Amino acid sequence: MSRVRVRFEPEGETTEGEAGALLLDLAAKAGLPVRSDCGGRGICRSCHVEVRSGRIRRLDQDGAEETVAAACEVLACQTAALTDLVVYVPPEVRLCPTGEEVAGYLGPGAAALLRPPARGFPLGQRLALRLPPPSFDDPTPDWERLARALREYLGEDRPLVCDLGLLRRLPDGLRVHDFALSATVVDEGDRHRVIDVGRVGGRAALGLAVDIGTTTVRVELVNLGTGQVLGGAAEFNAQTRYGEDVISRIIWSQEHAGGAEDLRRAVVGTINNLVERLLRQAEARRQQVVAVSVAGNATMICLLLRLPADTIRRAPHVPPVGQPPYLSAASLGLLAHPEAAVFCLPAINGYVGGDITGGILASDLAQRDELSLFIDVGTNGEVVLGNREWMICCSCSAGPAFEGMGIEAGLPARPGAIESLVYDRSSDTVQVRTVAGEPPVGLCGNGLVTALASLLEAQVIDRVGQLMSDYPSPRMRQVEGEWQFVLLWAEETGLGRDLVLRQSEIDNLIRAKAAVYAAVSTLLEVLGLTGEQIERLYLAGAFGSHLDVAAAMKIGLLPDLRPERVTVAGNTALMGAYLALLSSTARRQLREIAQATTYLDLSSVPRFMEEFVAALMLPHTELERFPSVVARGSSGVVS
Amino acid sequence: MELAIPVEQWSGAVGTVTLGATAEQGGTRRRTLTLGGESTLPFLRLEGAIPNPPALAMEVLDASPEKWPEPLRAPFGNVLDDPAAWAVKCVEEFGADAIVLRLVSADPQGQDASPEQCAETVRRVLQAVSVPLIIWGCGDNDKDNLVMPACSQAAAGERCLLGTAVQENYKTITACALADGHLVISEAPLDISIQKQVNILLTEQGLPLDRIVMYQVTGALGYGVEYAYSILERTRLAALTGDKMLSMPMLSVVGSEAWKAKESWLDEPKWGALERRGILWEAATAALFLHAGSHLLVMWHPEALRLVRAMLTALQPA
Repeated sequence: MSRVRVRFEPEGETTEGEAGALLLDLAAKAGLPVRSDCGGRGICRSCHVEVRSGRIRRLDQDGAEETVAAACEVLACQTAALTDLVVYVPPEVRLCPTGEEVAGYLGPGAAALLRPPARGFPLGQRLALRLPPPSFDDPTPDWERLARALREYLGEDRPLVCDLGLLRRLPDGLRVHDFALSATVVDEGDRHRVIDVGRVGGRAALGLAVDIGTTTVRVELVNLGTGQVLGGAAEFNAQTRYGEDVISRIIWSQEHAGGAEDLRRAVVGTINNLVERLLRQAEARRQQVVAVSVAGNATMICLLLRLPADTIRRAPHVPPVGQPPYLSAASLGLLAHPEAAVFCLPAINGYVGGDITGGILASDLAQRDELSLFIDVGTNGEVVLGNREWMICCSCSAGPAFEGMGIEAGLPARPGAIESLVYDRSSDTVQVRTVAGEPPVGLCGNGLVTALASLLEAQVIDRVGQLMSDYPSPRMRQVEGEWQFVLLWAEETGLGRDLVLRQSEIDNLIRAKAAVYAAVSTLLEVLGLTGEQIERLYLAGAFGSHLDVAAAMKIGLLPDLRPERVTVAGNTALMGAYLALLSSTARRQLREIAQATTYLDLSSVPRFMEEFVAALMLPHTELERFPSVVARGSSGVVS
Repeated sequence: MELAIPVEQWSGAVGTVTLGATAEQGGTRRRTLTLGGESTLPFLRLEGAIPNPPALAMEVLDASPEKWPEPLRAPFGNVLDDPAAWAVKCVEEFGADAIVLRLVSADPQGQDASPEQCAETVRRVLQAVSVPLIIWGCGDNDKDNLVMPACSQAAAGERCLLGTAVQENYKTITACALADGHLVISEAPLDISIQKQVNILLTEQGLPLDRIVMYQVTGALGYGVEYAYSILERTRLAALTGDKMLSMPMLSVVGSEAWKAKESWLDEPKWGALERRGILWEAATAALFLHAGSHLLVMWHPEALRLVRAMLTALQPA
């Protein structure tokens, strides 16, 4: 098989591969991964690229071969390179870092877990020790000598273990440093493990807090001694190319030979890319990373561990494990010290995972007297209601619309993504604010929420989200039988083409918001509570941290609450992972939270479907549930 | 010891809607028809007033119904290919309170009659009868959006009930009703939330509550009618507990649904006499919807209508 070289424009990144390789794979290899919302099935057209020269085979055209003369738009997942190629990757097609991580909210109770003595032990730590040298009076062997000193230092009597490699290194290690040394110890719950010995005053022990989202993976590099966050980075979960939601990925892992390994490798690759970048920025080494805590839903954890995830999909939706035992980084293939301890935040069940347990811990919901509602809007929406006495949670499938997928104009919150959009009816103009002030290339979740609220207010759409086809503006148009509204004209964008919102995409957004709201209202209904009784609302998820709360209430994504009751909590999953990295008390509390939280299966509650349909209106069919929205008079409601 | 019968006090009431306009009101009807207004559950006079009894309309098709089974054709004689004569027979001979003119001829898959042809039929039927008219489109949204404005204009001022507005297509028909002084049927696919959503959409277009009649698409007896019953009942309860957006009177289509059921037309001797089966199926379906709270039934067979009328009379206080 001959080799081909493909150059990706505009960066000019070049990669080599075998003739016949898909552009989708070659782009990933070149470090320019592209979107593939449908998992490479040629359905979604989200991976469209432009071939500028070379010879290609079109799988979507019965394998037809063609030599490209003029630039030709193709789907990267359906096009194979036969010769050297030049390919242009448009900005909206790229999967790329979503920028700096936003710190999440930490309740006062959770913050207290970071201070000794409440915090207990970090997941990994480096301890400086001075051992008495052996003598005829004290002939204790080397390992027991180290263990004795460590136990004394740690002030407890859990067993200490190590592996053969350490035993082999230990005699020299002790003597080279004259019995003054640093020992790296990781906490494995029921025991401590010594994974390294070295000189005193070496490089600091570092840890990774990892949030594996279905769509986005985020990592923070943390100094385990000080708790200082040395850096954070985020990237699309490379598993996205195997399906955009957990169910389609589980199916992929089951139905393709080596599918589970593909998925494992994809997410490990994403994490390692981020870790590599963070280590480079911090000028740190892989061997320094001695602890990793991972928050993710049960499916994400299963796929990371390459456990069969099929049982999550099938009733009664039992995951293979709620909380995996402490594992080593090497066994998972993570870029860290091979024996670094990996702690996975415990899941409540197959659909409410460690990301939510982490969020409950970080937000203090489980410690407060007042009734609180916790909402994490991601590809799945999870909702927790409760206080220190009781907690109940549920999960709904919101779809990836709010993360910018499944909508052509959708994007994650990265430079150029519109985070706020206001349309003015009288002047027929649009005002946008973009991330980093760059030319607009698409809308992130909050951009979509504000756009929807604004189009409703301007009566471009009606209360069920239908575009008013008789709306007096050239922005309203019909293309291939579907109505669409032009948000920005080509020249106003960084795309070179009109940025539009189609009827089907608006319908998608409304279904997503209805699923989230219906989950909330069903929980309240089941418990006989009303929205006014909610004293605090924590809004989690990266989407939550950018959310315009007033606009979200206007479209009925969130219940109508007074703004002062809303806490935008940001990425609480990552905060939960951070707490778990630094505190054994936090790790214990996470387990308690996972055990104490009741799960309500919405599919078993007939009411949910009715609540969902009722929530398909903007803001809601029961307008009286949104008094402040109606009072603001977003449109003339007759009642 | 005296037994105190518990009486429910409802906070709300069903709204009233009047079909048809007399000469003084700008129309040409000699009779108008007022629906709704009750503050109690169906027939339960103990708990509240029922100012207007349920009404029975008969349906006239503007194209001869070739597929109708013989027991259904028989009572109409030779009027089935003349909508005006058919309507007259329904009113004068069978006692229909209103006429539903179903514009099946407009269907682009069928005769594809022009808006002008449909409007002409509307004019003829209005001249032939003096009861209120319900004008019902062919069900093809695009075609109905052409046909309804012409028919609405042809009937301007008559306070006809125009059907139907659905979530995906409600603007044209609402605009017609507002321009020509008609009422609108708000249709939902057997879903109480969607019913309310359509009602909200109509009112946000400026149509007052007293110009809307609700219609849930149901089946007939034997075809999931229990669910339909509970949806109608819940809608009625919503009105009685003060939900203005669900307080309009309800219409139920009985004839076409009942005669769709194979029990009505299949020649199967074990099921009983074919001449009576369809009639009883239609009457039983009608009785059920009346008990669920429907205000206006759209009937096909005159004998079924007579049976239902007898039931209503029997349930009327002496």
